[in-house]
Amino acid sequence: MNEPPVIQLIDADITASARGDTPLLKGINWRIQPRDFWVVGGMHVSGKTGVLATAAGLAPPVRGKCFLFGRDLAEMVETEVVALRQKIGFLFSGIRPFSDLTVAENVSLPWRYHQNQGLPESDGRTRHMLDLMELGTYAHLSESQVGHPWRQRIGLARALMLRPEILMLDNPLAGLDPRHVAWWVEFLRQLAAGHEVAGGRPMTIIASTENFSAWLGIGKQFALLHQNQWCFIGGPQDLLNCRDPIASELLVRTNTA
Amino acid sequence: MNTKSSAAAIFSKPFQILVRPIPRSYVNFVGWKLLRLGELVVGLFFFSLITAGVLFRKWRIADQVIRPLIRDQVFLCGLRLLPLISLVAFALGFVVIAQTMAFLSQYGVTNYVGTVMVTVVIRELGPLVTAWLVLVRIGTATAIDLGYKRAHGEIDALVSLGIDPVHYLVIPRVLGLSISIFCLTVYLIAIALASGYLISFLQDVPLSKAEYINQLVLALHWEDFPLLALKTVCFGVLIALIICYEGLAKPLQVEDISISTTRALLFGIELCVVLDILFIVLFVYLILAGQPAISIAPTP
Repeated sequence: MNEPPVIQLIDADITASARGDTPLLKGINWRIQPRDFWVVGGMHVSGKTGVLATAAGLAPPVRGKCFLFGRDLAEMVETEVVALRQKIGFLFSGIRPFSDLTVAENVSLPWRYHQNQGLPESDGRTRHMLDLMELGTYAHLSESQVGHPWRQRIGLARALMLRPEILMLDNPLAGLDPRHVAWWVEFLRQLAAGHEVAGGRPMTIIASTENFSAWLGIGKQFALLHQNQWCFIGGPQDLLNCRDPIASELLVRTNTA
Repeated sequence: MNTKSSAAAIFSKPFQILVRPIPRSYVNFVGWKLLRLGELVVGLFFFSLITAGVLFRKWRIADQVIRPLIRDQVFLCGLRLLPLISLVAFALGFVVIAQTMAFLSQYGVTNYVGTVMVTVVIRELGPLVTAWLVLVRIGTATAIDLGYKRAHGEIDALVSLGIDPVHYLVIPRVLGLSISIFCLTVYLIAIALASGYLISFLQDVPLSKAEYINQLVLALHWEDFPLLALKTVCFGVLIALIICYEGLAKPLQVEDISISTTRALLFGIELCVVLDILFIVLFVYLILAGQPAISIAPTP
């Protein structure tokens, strides 16, 4: 039952793109097993995006090793990295969909590019994904014509189009109202249990947040980024019992809100 | 010792001097500008190598997605520019013929009208003016668009989806602009030649249509055609590469977009002139070497 990790960081120093090569987080050891559901919390500019981008193989660590599906990122050629990247769906925080495409074109782009299909051929799959995200009525609008919560769903749909094994979400619930938050929580719960959009198999999910409470019901492993350090907390009960002031603050802030 | 160490520090990091404020000395200012140009040329060279590599390696990858993008670029840079190109071509033909006739008619040598049109419009101004118009009208908008994409993280999003930004954003622009500039140049030349004849007709110049065409045919060399095609395609590639390099190659913030756009425009104009000079040299080498010089003398 001891499965190999899908992603592993070993003694990795991680930087934020704006900081050049100066490490933001040092000595991270992180092992992500299949079907894990990680929630990584941290305040603003604590390095959440950097950790996720490094774990997804989008940015190499400044020091240390990053293994994707058992393979060292540093020893892979570009084509191999691109092939592995298709197994990881990534939703960036605050990044808008492609501005010159409609909602439907945005969602279908990764599928059309990797399957070499035109718009008509990919229409069925795109429509199905749009319906799942409740975006059907916005299909022909441009991204600037839809609000922030729907843009987040466009990003999620795009990340899921290639049926990835791992889904990485960078602060996906930021700026969403309670109704949208409830939709996300329920949808991610289904993905983690095995949704037909991922071929029915349980998906490995890693999410970052500035707000732990919404994730208490679905997250299985919790970690905290604080003062340039990676701190593993444990399961939901461990998070509730955690005495770390930052972890408590993230929970208290949320509960108050 | 101090000088040595500072020189070593500068050369240990190439172009480190470029981040310094502009020196007050005029000579230093010129040197600083030249270094900036050198940096651009080096960066552009490597960027064009990457683009060429992607073009050949991914020629058949995702062609169902890339081909419509090339078609869109041809529409945007080619078809939508036809009214502007028509106006400029008409004006070009008018100006060249009107001025030339005013000069040549003093000596009674109107049989050189075709030669002048071929030399000025077909070989030189046609391709260069078209390239500049495309650069100003389309290049500016494209540089802003790409800068916006870069600043708003759309490039990172493409990479995260396993889509090569050079393949998706640069290749369609390089091919689309090359095709567009070639077609627009041919169109501009045709309109300019036609408007030139129209003006000479309106000025009561004793020049029949058959004579005019005959002069054009005699003034043209077969080398003009491949050189014209090569020159226009090179202009298209160069403009697309400059725009994409300034928009995509470096991390940008929103406030940097206007600066990078201006830089793309200026470097585009300058490098088009440099490329044009190289083609003049090539033309002189290919065609004029070994031919007797043309002397302007009254025809009997």
